[in-house]
Amino acid sequence: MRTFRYIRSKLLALVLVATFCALFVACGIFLWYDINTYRNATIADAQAQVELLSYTTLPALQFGDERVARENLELLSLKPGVEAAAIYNAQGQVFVSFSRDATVQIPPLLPEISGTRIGNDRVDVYGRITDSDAILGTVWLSESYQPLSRALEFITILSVTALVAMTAAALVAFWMQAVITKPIHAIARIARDVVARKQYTQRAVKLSEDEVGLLVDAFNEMLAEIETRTTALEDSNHELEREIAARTEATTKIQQLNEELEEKVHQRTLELRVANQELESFCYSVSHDLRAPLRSISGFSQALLEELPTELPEGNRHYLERIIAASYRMGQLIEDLLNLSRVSRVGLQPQSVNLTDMVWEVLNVLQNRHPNQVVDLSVWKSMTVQADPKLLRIVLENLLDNAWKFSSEQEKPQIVVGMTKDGAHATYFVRDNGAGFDMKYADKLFAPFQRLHAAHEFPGTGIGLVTVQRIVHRHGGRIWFDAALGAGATFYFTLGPGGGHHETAGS
Amino acid sequence: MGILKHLSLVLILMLGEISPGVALAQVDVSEYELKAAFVYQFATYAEWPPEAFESDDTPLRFGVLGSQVMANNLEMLVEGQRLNGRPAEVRLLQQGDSLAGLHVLFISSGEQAAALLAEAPVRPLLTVTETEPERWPPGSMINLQVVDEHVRFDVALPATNAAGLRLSARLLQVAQRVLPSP
Repeated sequence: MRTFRYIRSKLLALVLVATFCALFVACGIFLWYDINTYRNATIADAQAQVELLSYTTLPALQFGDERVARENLELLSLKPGVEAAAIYNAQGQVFVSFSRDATVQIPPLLPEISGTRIGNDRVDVYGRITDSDAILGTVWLSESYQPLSRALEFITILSVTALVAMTAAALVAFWMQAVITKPIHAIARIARDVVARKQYTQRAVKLSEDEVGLLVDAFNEMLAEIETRTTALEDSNHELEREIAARTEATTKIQQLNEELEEKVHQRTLELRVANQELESFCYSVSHDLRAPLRSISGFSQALLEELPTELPEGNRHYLERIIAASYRMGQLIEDLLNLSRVSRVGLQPQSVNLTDMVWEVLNVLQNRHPNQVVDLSVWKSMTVQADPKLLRIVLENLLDNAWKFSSEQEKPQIVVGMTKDGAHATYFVRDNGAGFDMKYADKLFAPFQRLHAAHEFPGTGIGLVTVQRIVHRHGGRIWFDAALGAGATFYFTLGPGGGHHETAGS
Repeated sequence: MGILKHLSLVLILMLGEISPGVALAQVDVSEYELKAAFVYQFATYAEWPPEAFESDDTPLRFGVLGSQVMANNLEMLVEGQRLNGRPAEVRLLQQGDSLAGLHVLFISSGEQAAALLAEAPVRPLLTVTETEPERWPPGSMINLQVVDEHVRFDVALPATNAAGLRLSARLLQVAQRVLPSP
């Protein structure tokens, strides 16, 4: 409906179509009615004329007076519709006749048909002239009957009427459409204005109480709603802005605090490192310095024992031996402490190490040290790691020494060294079937000088695992374990970051 | 009226024996046959005062003076017919016969109509003569003539009025000449 883009065009079309339909139907009915009426009127008129003629010409026929009959007949010339008429005598011959013009043929003899006959352009009516049941003659009358030309005439008039009516309707509709479209235009103008200027305080003026009035009401309600919403939204926006500002401020503060904290942490770490280094160097120098007097104690006790093998009473000998053993243990402790501090101090020199070979080397040393022990040894082949070989050897020595030591009481001691791989990260383990320990003491395992077993049960200084942990940590790895009392222990460690699934319990 | 009678009348008219619509020469109809038909028709257009009849059944009486042929022709037309709801009869009269009880009187051309009519008392009697127009006697209400082989008639209204008779205007319409009432 591109042609009816505007309401006024639609209204105009509506009015014209409605008018046309109404006129068309009305005209159709009128036409039908008129043609029907015309036909009936024509027939009735002709029949009435015939009746009249037959009555008035009866005496003329009775007395054979053609003049009077003709006079009667010629009066028909006053009636425009009558084309021709004739009176026949009882023998069916023309008595008198009348014809408006020469074109109409008067039948010379009475046709056999009687009554009313409707032709294309005329109506023929035959009426008997009777006198007390005796037929004296017949009147024939032909009246013009032209429904087509009448219909054409009628249609012409109706067309002109319709044209005038539709023009009038169009003019009225054109004038009336302003009443409908004007308020709509007003609404549209305000709507555009509202959109353009974001002014929601405007209102359309209600000009009528009809549907357009409803539209105006709805539009105004909508505007009011939008205004309310917009105000609410603006308020909420302001609130939000305030909140955001507050949060930003808080965040800035937190950041500042964090920075300060980091700064503090950094400072403390530095302080701690310095303190640690001082402590370690102190520990080293103490240990180092302790060795000389210890060597004297041990050496002189040994010398005393060797030079006076018999003079000393048995008890004194025993004291000396205790002194020597204690000195030895102390030497061990010092050695381990030095190792520990060395582990912390020396620089890391990682390289590719054949772990399998190194494990075997350490195990051979252990086997040589305990030639009478038969231990089932199992080491996985072709294990290579990236590590500092000296430190790695310390790790292996400690772990394997522990394994050897704690499984020595078993009937069939067993040590397994292997690895598991989780993607690129390898986890190595050392497992024995020795005495094991209760996991509830696990947190003491990596603390220095803490031992789970009595010295007479399993000798040791309590520093080994601390050293191992420190080395693993220095390599960026982790160490943990799994054990049960009497069911052996397994130590796991990784070298390098990643891998493992079990945080170490010790510190 | 019975269907047979109806048919016979139609037949008579159709046969043209007394058909008035044609000239005398055209059809072989005698002058008096035609004139009898005229007189018969005059009676149908005339209206008598009530005292002219003794009762409702009193027949309408035609009197013919001086013409046996006319009387015979009339007799043929009237026989078995009812005129204005009454039976009709025809009497042939001689000079000097009483005119009492008659309703229509035809005086043939051979009689001295003028003298007869002058003597006759005024009564509701439709008088018909057949004289030359210039010798149409006073007291004759209708005068028959033959013009161009057609039978025509004149009507004198003063006479009918005086006698208390009324003639239908339709009859007057076809009259050749009507003497108006004074």
